[in-house]
Amino acid sequence: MMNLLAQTQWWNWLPEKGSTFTQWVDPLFYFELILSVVLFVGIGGCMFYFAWKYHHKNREDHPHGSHHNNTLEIVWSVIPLGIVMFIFVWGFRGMMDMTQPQAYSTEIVVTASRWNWQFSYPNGAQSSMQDGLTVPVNQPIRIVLKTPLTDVIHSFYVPAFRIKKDAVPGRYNETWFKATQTGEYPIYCAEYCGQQHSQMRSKVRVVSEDEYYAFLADAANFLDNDPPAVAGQKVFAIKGCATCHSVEGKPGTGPPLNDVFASKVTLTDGSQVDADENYIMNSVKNPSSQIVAGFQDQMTVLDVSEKELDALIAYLKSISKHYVGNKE
Amino acid sequence: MTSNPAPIITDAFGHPRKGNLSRNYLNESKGILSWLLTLDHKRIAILYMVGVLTSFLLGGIFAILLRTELIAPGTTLPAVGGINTTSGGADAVWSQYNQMFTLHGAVMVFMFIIPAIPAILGNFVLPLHLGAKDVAFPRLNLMSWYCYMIGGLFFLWTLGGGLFVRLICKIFGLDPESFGQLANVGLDTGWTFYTPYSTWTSSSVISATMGAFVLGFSSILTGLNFIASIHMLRRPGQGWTKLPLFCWGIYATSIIQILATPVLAITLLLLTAERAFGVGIFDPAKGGDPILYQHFFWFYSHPAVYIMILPGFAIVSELIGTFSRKHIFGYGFIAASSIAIAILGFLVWGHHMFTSGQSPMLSAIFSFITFSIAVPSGIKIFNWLATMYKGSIRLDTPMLYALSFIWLFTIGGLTGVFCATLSVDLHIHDTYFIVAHFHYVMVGSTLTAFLGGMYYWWPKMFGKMYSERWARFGCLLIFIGFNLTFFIQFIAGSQGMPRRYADYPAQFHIHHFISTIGSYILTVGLFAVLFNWIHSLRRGAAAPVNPWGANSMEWQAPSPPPTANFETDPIVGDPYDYSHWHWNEEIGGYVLEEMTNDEIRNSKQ
Ligand code: HEC
Ligand SMILES: [Cu+2]
Ligand SMILES: [Cu+2]
Repeated sequence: MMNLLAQTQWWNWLPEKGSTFTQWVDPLFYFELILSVVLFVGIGGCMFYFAWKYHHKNREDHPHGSHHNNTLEIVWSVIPLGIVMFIFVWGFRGMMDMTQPQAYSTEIVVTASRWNWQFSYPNGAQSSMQDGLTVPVNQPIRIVLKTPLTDVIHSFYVPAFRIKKDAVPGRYNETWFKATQTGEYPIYCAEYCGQQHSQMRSKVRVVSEDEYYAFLADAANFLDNDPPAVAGQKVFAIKGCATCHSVEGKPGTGPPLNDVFASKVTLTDGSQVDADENYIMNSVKNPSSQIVAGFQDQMTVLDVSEKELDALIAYLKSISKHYVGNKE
Repeated sequence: MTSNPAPIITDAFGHPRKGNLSRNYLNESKGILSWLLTLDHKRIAILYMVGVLTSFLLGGIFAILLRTELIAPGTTLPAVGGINTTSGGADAVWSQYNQMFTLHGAVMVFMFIIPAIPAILGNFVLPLHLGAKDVAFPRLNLMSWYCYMIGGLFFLWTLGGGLFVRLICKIFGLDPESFGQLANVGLDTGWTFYTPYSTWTSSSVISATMGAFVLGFSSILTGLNFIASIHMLRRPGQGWTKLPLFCWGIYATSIIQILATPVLAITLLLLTAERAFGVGIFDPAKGGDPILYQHFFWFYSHPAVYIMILPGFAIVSELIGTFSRKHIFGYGFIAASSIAIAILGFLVWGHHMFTSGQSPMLSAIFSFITFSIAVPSGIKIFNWLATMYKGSIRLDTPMLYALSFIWLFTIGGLTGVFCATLSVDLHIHDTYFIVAHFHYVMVGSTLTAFLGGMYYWWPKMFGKMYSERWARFGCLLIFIGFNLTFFIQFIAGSQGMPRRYADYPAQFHIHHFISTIGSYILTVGLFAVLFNWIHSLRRGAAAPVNPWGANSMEWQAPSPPPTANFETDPIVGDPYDYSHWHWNEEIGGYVLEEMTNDEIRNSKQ
């Protein structure tokens, strides 16, 4: 308990400042907080004071005060109205800045799917949920949010940047930010999306411009440069296959994928099929057509290119004890 | 007050009552059928009370389980398993958590908060407030209770059946798979049923929506009955300005119930059509629009939050007046503000969707109207304070609840301003800040008002007083427990803790820990109330006709009232003019001064 209390500044209201939007959200938030405290102390104070001061002396009393005063009613309607309209305008201006991306932004596509974040950069490089989103400091970044058609709604939330935007299947959403300090900041999924909603966490790595370009060069073209099975392992991580499929033999939302290739798979209708290349392709491109026994039709149709599929198949071969075809 | 000698049973004027004193609506007829087929609004209120409090207990048990799961990061509760879990690991705990928070939210919303005040206290008190024998349509009233029970049992089974089966399996070491589909009955969509999750999940969405659909009818029928009753059944001489504010609040609530609930019913039917027949309305994979669902859903569910809070305002207005013993301040403004809230409440639903990608223009309009609701809400608080000013304030248990309501609602209302602010909401939307905000409003305020109302009308409902000391103790524990549980959640939320998380980063450990401890204290407080009530039923001293000196008509009926409510025609007057009631130590209550017919006629004006 004591070391919990000694932890980081748990009593602080807003988290660390990571983007330019803090200049909109933070002052307004604290303005509202102070206003609330003042009003609360006023209202609560009156209440306690009256309860004490006018505590009954005699059960008979029925004081005849005035019980009607139009001027008062107007005063305590108009003053709050003025205050909230002021807040409204302030909040509106903040929102307009926070939702309209700037010209000449770096554009990064963020794909949310159950229960994964995938980040795709302008040069074609991609990074996984584990590695996080890498962005250069002090540059406007436009985030294009999407979700596969067969998936559910998620929400991209970076508390340090004060931004949140839903990723909705069937439409593109956008948001933007300009990070002001290098460092690592958590990304959360803020819209309930099922079993592993609470695990859909990643991070933003804000780095200097040089580091950013080095990262881009490094992350690009792995499909061409790495051996297929190694590239396949990366695809498996980037696409989020791992959130439903373990490769250590434990069933999750989907069956474990080690030792699947070249095995015989039993489907819900009782039939058996050979897990060959076609089966894997079909499982990935059209998962609803063949459902593995003991599992539900829950696999999202992810956007997997031919090259990525080849790499995935190579990877699944490399982790299957049944597959004996490939001599190193 | 149990130590006081039993008061003499009198009528409102302090004369010993003649006739069969022990006969009242509770013992008028005996046997289970006399209850199940009753048309008496008071008995239906008691029937509702049993159903609603049982739901509250269930929803509450799940709240405690949720808080216990969250007491530390990682997994805490043993894995019982949930829908679509094949392993006994962490994912089983996450799935069961998702089912539990769905059950907690849906049961508390549809089966506790929405019916609590209108169906229990409204049913009992409203006809008495009108000096009537019953509501306008007693048969519909009974039917609404059957809708509640049938829809409710169905709903509960759908939400909790699978968890129950799995729990039994866990205890007796059985394999849930051997129960086949039974173990997979359950819902994991949250009470909001958002598409496309609800289209896609393999949980029991269709039967849950059917349950909610039937429950909705119970709400519609109640609202319809109250509107008709207020229009048709007022006593001669009881103009609209002689209505107690409780009736105004219930009237505003009823308008929302009959106009908004059908929209929910239609939305749930569309969702069912989508799941059952593959019609693409909301699911983008079938050509639908998931955001459309959110519009439909919140078109009901935002007004629904006013179904929850307006009756709370209604009760508090009664309590503040009675226990300040001074005419309520700004009667017209309090009444009109309820109606204004009911109307404006229909125009703000889009404030739940600021991050969904709706156009900024739309967001701005919704934010603007949302802010304007601050005005009528503020009017109420200021008028209550003005009523207390220079009053003669008694701090009996109902008044303690009313003061606790003002405290909690002020916090809930002020934090609503944060949520309505466009830029700030982009940060706090879907975090614990929102969770704390709506618990302050829906639980802190509505539950507190409900308990205050129960204590206020308890002597009338059961003819028994309760132990004042224990009642105050319960109120205090609830107040402390509630603030401890939920205040810290504002801080967690503004630091970025997302809601509906079964597991969370260690950074938020302290917040969740404090919150969980608070929830245990809150639970103890609620049980103190329950035992206080049970004790009162068994041992309580007989209640006088008017223990509080209030002037609305229910306090002229015997406690508890006979089936026909009044033994003599009640005198209509200004409900907030307390000057004709005088304290009588001997009977432990107030008695009405004798008036000549002329005086009665004058007091009517
Ligand atoms: C949302 C969870 C989810 C994600 C993400 C997911 N799958 Fe699946 N997958 C499933 C489920 C559930 C099944 C079993 C039902 C079925 O056959 O469709 C399955 C089945 C499979 C199968 C057949 C397995 C067998 O034992 O025969 C393969 C192969 C497969 N998935 C590959 C992938 C690949 C590759 C990816 C990443 C591109 C992926 N899955 C992403 C849930 C998922
Ligand atoms: Cu999520
Ligand atoms: Cu709302």
